[in-house]
Amino acid sequence: MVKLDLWKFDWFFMIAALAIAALGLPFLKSSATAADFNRQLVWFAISIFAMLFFIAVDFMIWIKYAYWIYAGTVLFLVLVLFLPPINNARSFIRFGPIGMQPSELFKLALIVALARHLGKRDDQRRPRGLIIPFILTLAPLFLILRQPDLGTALTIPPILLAMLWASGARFPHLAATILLGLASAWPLWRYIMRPYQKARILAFLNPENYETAEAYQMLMSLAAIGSGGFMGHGLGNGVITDLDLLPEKHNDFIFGVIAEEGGLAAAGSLILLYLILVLVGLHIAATAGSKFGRLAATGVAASIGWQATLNIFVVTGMFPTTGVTLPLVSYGGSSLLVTFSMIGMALNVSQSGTQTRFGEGASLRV
Amino acid sequence: MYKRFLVLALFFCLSFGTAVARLVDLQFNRSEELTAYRENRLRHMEQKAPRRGRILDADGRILAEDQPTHDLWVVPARRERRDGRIEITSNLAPLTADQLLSLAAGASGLERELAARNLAEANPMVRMLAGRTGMNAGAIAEKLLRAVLGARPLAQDDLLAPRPALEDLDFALAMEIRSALANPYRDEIWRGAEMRIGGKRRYPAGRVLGHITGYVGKLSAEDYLALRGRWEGEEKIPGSGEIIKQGRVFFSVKSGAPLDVSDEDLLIRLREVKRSGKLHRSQGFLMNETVGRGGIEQQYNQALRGRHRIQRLRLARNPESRRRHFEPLGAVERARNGADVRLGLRLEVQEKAHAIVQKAINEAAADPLLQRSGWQPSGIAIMMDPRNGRIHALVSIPSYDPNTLSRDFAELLKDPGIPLLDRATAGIYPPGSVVKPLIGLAALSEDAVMPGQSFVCEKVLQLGGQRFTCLGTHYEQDLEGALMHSCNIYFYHAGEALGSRKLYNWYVQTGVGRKTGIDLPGEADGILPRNAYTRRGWATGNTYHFSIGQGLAVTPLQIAVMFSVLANADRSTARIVRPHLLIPPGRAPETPEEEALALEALELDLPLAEIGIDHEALAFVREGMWKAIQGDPENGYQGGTGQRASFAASPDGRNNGNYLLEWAGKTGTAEWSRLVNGRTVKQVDHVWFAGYVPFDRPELVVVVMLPEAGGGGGWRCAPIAKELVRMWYNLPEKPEHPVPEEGALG
Repeated sequence: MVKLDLWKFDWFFMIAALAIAALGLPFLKSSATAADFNRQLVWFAISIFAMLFFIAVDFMIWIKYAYWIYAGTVLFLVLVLFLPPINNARSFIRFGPIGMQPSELFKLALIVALARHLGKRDDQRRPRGLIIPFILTLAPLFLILRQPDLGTALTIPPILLAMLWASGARFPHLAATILLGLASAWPLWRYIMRPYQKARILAFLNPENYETAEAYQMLMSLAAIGSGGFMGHGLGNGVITDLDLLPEKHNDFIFGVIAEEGGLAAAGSLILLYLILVLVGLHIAATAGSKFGRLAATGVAASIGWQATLNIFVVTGMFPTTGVTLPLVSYGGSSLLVTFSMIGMALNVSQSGTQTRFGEGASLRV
Repeated sequence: MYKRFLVLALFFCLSFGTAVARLVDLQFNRSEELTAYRENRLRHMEQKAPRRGRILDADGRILAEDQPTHDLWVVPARRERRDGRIEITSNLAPLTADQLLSLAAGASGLERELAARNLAEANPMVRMLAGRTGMNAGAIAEKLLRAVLGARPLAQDDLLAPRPALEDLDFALAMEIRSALANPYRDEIWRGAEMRIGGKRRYPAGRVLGHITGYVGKLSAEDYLALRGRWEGEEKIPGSGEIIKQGRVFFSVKSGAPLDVSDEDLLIRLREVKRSGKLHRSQGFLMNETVGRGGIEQQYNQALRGRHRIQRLRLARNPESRRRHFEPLGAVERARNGADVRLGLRLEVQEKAHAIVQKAINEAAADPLLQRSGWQPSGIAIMMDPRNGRIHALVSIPSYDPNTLSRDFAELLKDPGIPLLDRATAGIYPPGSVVKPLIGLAALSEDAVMPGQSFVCEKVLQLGGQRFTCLGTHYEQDLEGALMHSCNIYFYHAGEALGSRKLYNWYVQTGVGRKTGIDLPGEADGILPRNAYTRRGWATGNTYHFSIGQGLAVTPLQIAVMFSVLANADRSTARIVRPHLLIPPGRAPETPEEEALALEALELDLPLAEIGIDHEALAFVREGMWKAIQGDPENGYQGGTGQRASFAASPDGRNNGNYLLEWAGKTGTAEWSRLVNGRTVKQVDHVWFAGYVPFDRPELVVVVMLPEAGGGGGWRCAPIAKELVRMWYNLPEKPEHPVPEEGALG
């Protein structure tokens, strides 16, 4: 069953992903506890295997079973709401020693489900064709908001938008939905957001009023990044990192650690690697041999790219603090596993393509 | 189709480009600022308050001192290891740590009330304390909560630091809690409790000196921010920009370095108003430090507070044990105890003067007339040395007891008698006839009226259709007679001859209608209408009123200054004195604070402005003031309006048995009205007496005033003044400012 076309296989994509992970690891070691770091190494190994597995398996299989995968993941999302909360949120399912975040898995499930749906149809140019994709995306989003996990919820809608765009939806329609989404901020603020989530936004707007509480993390992060300068303090020498002054330093705020200890050199390189990863991912999509492949690769690139952007914006104080991890770098098993799986899937797409570069098979039907 | 992917690519290029641009901004442009900010965050300041200086009287008696107290401190939460994780657990059951934090992040009044009720009902420590102290459990819970939450938002770590909850516990209870805490198997009841030795201010003289000593309070978070506002307004912050308060540090986000207030808590460099001078020039206030409020405590706060022991610390991690700790940063700034402030008055004199005025007020209050008018019993007496302005007694009744002020504060605010107002320096009243000697002096000095010149008093002076009246029909009056009988008509004429502009000049020059510069905060200006000078909307009738002490308002202290000019003027050139309480420390100054005090005292003792007073005219005025009290026996008058102050018939009216005490003085009865529902309603008169003794070599100015007491100054106030003078000359002995004992405390 394993039939790979290694000539068409996009090595750049894999190398960029591995380089990001490799660049992040030393900083993870300096910011996480030894136990956490070792656990992450194990996850890393598992994730590499997962990536290889997804490279090897024809992605059309996932497309074929897309709805079943989607349904199973949503079931998990429902299930997790009935489990006891950890850190005030119901986002984890534990299988013995292994914890899993179904919301991470949902990203992958959503990408294949949307690819299946959009790939089979050709009515995305009309508003009616947008209804089902929106339902597929937004309904589970409310489950995620219930956990509550605003951060993950914020990473998902752009996947849908990117995939709709890639499948030919019209700009005015997408722009209208974006505006609608922004307009929904008010009821979201009024009825759904928790006080602490609101406080974070208020703290972002005027930090001086939230000095020791909500704005603390952001200000500490800014101090860490700023004091890093061009070359940084060197691995393990970050003052704020070492003194434990930056909460979630190995997790959501690991970019602050990288900027403090590695300076602009490391942090800038990392951003550059993300950009390469995303651009290569989009190239895979553009040259994919099938509409399914094109959509799946778009979803993968958009998901990773958007999540990295959001995380870096939060850490550098350009967006209110939300719990978004830095893909491939932050501590966290399920995120790593799912991201590498997505990358594997995109790589599989890359070698199965038949299309040449400039849109010759753009109207290919499957 | 490929175009669509180019759009997506462009989007990500832009967003990652923005991120890089932000990084460059943070790590190049703002690197220095943010590094400095980080350093500030790592710093911490450990401080210990020194002993606050005492306030002493001229005999070395203690008027205010620190007294050790047993205070209960509470650590709101503790770290606890649970399932391998370290968690923060509340010490204030039934409230949880999360609850405390969310309360601190800004709770509604209701939430807070609920939390206080929970504490009061279910917290064993609160219940225990309520049982032992007799305080209401709800009140204790509220105090506890206030101490825990403070005014600022809390971080979780803030919950681990002890903070003062109940101060000045009774000794037995304090010892009981201490032994309970020392017990290794101690009760859960006292979880989080800590006993510390604190200090409170003790004022042995209580309400007798309330307005003079003032009191102390903690610099609250609100004061702190208010002070900060002032500081921001007055000080230029280098490269000023938006200011962020991060924890206890201020730093400027936009532009520049963290405010070089450098250390954590020390942030306010406050420029005080010019006049308060050197002592206030630059004060670095610490959060929660004790500051004087009112009186000497406020006026000389900078000298009294001394200097805190300060150790700057920086957070560090031990490379071997991997533990975090604070390591010292630089040398310890050593503490310096506050300087003692010594006052020129004697507690004994102040006490006796207070008692005399209080007794007179009590008698007046029994007057059925005053009972009907709803008099708020109040009275003022000032005894001052006219030669240098040294205050011997400054009585303002009603007063307050600084020892119990914090407890009674709400009631004091509501009291219709306004006990918090120091009427001697901050109450303003029309002076009425007490200013007549000044008007006479001015008229004679300016040659507006000849010394022997008389005016005829027929009880009424007609001006156009207006009638200006006198108390009686005095017929022909010269200056002396007019002062003796307090004849208005004479002064109407004298004032008219002088003109309102010159009247205004003389008032201002002798300290009427402006601050005297006494070393007490909150002094009032009084009211002196400028129209008298500019003559805008000013008629001759106004000049008439103006020359009998109507149409202006003064503080009693201003009258004391005016009389010291009258008493003093022939010594050399006439000068104004500045009333003051402070005198130099009785020994060579040792600390900067003592030096500053000594300098200040020296300056206070200096007479200020020179005034052109004609000595011959002064002699006439004094003669008139003599007659106002002793009468004119040669012409058959046994006494003037101030007869009741005269010692002529008193066997004890001698200065230590040497010679008969003779006064120069003047009474005053000031009419005034109040606007009630648009109608002017005449009120009960303010009554005055002012004078100096002895007549030939003045050494004491006495001013007595009873607001709204009616009955005439000669009737109500003269006897009080007489009592005060009798007391002054019958003091057992009058030590000339001995050196105060040292080391009476700690």
